[in-house]
Amino acid sequence: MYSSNHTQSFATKKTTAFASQARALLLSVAILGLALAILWLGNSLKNAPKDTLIVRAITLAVPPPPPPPALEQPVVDTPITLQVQGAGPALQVLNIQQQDIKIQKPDAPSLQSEQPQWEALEVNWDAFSLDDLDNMPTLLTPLRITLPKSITRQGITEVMVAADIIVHENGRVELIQVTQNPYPELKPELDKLIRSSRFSPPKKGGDNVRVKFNWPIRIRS
Amino acid sequence: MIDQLLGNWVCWVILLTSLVCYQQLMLQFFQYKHTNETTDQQLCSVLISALPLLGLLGTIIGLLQCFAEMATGNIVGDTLSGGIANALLTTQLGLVCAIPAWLLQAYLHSAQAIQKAHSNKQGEHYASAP
Repeated sequence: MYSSNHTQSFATKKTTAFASQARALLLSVAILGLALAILWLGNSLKNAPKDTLIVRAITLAVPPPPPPPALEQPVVDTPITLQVQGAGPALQVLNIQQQDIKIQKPDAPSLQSEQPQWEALEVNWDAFSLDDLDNMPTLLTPLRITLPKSITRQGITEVMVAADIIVHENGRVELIQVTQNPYPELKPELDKLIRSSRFSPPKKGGDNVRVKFNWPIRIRS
Repeated sequence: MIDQLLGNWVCWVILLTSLVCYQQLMLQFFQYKHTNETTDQQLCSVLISALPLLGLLGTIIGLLQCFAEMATGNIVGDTLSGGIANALLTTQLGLVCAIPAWLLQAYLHSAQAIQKAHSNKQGEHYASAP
């Protein structure tokens, strides 16, 4: 009796120990697997590719401009054949006799031209002569003129000049033309002299009038 | 990584050692849970301490191989870096396997200490009872 109980107790203990060892082995494998999983996870996260943002510079490619249109029209080398039915239109031949044509020479027209009547242009100065005045106008300004050296170098000491002038109502002198001047180089000085001269106002019937006369001037060096 | 683990014998030693260590710790835990008996834990302590040292041994062996190949001149930069990484993997494996064992052992020690203190208190109570 004691022996059978002892045998059963030994078997129970053996079974319990085996079960404990099996459970311990399973748990130890699980712990080891967990440790290896942590190790693998750490390495995977370390070697995982990181999300990188890549910014690329984009250059817009401009399409090339279209080619210019062809200026030349395509030439078709294929010959064009026209097929016309019939013999074509009939051409009527006319026989025209050439006649001699006589043309009379026309008479030349006679043109009668009149000779133009040229009239001398005279300026109506609307001025009186010295004879119409009450008294003779008197020169108020002194006559000062310098003979050019080209004249004095020739030994000329006296020159006689004359000019048509108009003496206005206020005594101002206006030159019409130089009527006598043997030395053309004297013309500027003569113009200057006449322009600066002043006469007493010419009077006719008590009123100032305009007078025109020829003014002779004798110049002595 | 799995290829590196399976191709290194030091890794196999670490894995088997850690497996034995875990199993011993689990057996001690079950025995304590059912019978409240404490066993000798000297073997588990030695195995747990040997795990990081085994990893360090694998690292030293891998580095020696790398340097030996460097001496021959048949190694380039990438191969050297890969060899060093493989060598350091054993240290990492040893630490990863040792840390759970340390935690289990600490838990077992604390539980046994609490149980021992509790049993001492009960013994004193029975002893002082009239």
